[in-house]
Amino acid sequence: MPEDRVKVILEELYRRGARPRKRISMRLLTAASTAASVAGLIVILVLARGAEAPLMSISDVYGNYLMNYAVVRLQGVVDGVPYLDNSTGRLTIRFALDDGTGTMNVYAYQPVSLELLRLRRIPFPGDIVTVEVQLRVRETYTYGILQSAEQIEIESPAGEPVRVKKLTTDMEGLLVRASGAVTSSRLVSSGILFTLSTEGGEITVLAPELLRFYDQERYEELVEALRPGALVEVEGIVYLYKGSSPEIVVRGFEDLKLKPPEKPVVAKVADLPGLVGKKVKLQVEVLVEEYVSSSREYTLVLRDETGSAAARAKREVLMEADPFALSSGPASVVGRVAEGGLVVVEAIEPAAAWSGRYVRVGDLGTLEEGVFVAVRGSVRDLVKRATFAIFYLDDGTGSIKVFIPVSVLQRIGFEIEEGAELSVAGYTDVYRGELEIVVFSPLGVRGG
Amino acid sequence: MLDPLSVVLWALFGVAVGLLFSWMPGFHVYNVIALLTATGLTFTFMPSDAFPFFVLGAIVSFAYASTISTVYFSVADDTMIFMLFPTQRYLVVGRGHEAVLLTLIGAFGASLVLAASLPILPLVLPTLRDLLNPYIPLFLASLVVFMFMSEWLKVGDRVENPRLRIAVAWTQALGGIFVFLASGVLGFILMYTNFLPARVAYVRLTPMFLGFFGLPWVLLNILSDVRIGEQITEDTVATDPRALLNGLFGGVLGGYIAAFFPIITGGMGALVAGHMTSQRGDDTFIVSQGANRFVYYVGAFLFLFLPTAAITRGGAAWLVSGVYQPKTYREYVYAAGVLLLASGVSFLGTLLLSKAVARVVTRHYKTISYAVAGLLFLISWALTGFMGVVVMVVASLIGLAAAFFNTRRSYCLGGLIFPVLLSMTGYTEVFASLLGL
Repeated sequence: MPEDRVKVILEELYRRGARPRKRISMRLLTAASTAASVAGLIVILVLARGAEAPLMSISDVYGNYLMNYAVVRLQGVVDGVPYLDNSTGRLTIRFALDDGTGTMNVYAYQPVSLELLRLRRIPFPGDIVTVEVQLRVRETYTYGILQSAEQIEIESPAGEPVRVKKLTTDMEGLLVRASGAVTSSRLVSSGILFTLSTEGGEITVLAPELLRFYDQERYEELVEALRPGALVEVEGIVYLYKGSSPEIVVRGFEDLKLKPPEKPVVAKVADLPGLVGKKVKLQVEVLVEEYVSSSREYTLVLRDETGSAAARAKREVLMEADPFALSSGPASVVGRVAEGGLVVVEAIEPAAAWSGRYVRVGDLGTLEEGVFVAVRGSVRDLVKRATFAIFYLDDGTGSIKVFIPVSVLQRIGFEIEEGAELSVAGYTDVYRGELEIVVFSPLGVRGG
Repeated sequence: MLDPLSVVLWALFGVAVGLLFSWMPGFHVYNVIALLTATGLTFTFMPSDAFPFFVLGAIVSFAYASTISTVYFSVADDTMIFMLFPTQRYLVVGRGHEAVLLTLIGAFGASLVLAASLPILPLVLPTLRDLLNPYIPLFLASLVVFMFMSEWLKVGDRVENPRLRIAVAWTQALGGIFVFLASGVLGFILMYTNFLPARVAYVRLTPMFLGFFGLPWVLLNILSDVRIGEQITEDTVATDPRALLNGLFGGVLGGYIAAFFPIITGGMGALVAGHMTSQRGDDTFIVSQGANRFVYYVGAFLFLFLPTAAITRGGAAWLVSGVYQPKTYREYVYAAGVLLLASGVSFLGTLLLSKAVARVVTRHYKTISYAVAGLLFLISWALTGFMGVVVMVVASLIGLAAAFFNTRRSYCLGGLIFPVLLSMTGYTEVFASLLGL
């Protein structure tokens, strides 16, 4: 095809209606745009170095959607125990910051969260924290994301901790130290929650879940070691759980010092006033005075030939003792003597196995209130509610009301039915003028 | 809770706003939404629970009408990069309207696929998100490597000296790396410092994107003194059903990838899906881009309506979630209805707009380019002040460098990918120290 014809076709195909173009040197434009880009970036970089994140109050940024993604600094007191979650395989750390104008959650995602963990730079309740975060503003929730482990400054309460024997709400944020024996311990979502019996009362302590992330093995050893009776010295910040219940939050393993188990002193009730702070072992008759639901404790009377003493025991302590064996006679009680000779019971062990003797219902009225008894009979007038079951047990000599709280009922392992033959063991109590047996342990109900 | 009639009215209002602005080159519907939000105009007369439907309508119409600026005025944003050449080929031979129609077919097909998939999304997406979330940094890094590896060296093949040929060709590849890194540094500064004031944080990246993708193309149009020939405005397309289906499949796939994964944009999703489905032919390509953009923009925004999970993807979703987060299945069903309604109206509206633009506006190409350039400066200044204009100018220089290096414009997405990758891998502080920040 002739060259001029090709030119016409190309012109028609690609340049129809177009005017001739000017020539522009691409090499020059490329060099110029590259140089100008670099120069522009340098200018922006220099200006950015002087642009510090503004210190803002939480009330100014919370819910302000125009500040979505803003990098700001916040300063406040950490409110609550930091929450760690790796359920998705990636560690997230969250803590709440209160600056007096409001509270906001701050999140650290992986890898920043791992770096915080490595540096042990995780704030605790009471810490004053300055943090540079990027905001995320949602319709009902505003939060900050920590961009780097370097962008958090933590000022922890310093100085010598105050030694305390009990906690009050006005101690919030105070660095304290306490020692005593563990009376109960359980795993909760935020860590190991245990109570410490001191000379002045009981103190709640939280060894936070965070410790597990620091050292899984040591944490599991701690779970095992913090059993009732263990002697511990703790140091930490007083935090008000739900704004009203003071507890000590431990910051690290080093703040939890376990002492070797103390051997109890074998004693008589009359010796107790001289043994304050000591662990004792008594051979006594145990009577239940009442159950205090707010503290989930029983108040007891311990009695031997030398006298009687007041005592208290956590629900779990009594639950572990065999009620049938307790109905046979005295028990061996291990506990710590508090001010005034009060015994904080750590363990109750029946002195002997159950004799197999049931009390006749007709004879129950002659017994002292609060004594442990075992009776057998058939169930009638059974009433079940969400929180308890009540029925009458008839053994032919009379009938007695039996009260079983739901915490016990759920663990019996079988259904109580009208007309069934049952053996129950518990303590006697007078409720609204009527004598009843309170079953306090799942071991206290047997079929037949 | 809004009644269905209010939902329809607010959605149609969104469609109208979208159609009004989206045909203009360099003009993004997100900027319009941001402007309305910043001025508070929207909330003086619009209930907050109507805002998501208004924005959905606007985004649907943007996904359709922005095709016009792509075809007639070149690229409006990064998602258009891969359709630049096929649509320009159509334009120079007077078939611009046909290219628009092909894109609309892709978008409409995608709207049907998206609507059909809505019943299963609440079941599938939360699980998929939890499953893939830990691997997102890896996915992003792979994508960056793939972008560089798949760069086709286009220049230098006619240079006679072999050494010079290699040098010229590699200038293009190295130019791509330069654009990626320069964009990355700019994005890093904007994301992690207060170069732009905290009070305008919600639009802190807007001037950068206007600079990367909006202003350079308008400037190039002015510089290159473009003249467009007479256009055919018949509503017909030359293609076959298999090509349409092929394009639709690839486009929807790329759109879903981009909508689902954070940071990945439509252009990158299209790049991956295009390779996965081995697309060939201009018509297939243009259809796939229409579908891709639709699923990317609209699909990502629809995730905000999922009642089973809060998946927030894209600037508009983040903006809306700060005002009102849809929560119920009823709103999800409303959104499905709005999707189809807005799609139908936008299809017809864009078709009419395309004819008008083909007949009238192409004659005033240069004037419009000047006007749009001025408008972009105005938006940037109104939203982010003088510093925002500075950012836009610097970003434009980087965008222009990408064009002059003849490399992919999507490398400008380094402005987003690079800082996020640093953050996800824990190198934010290291890099900030390196820059002295």
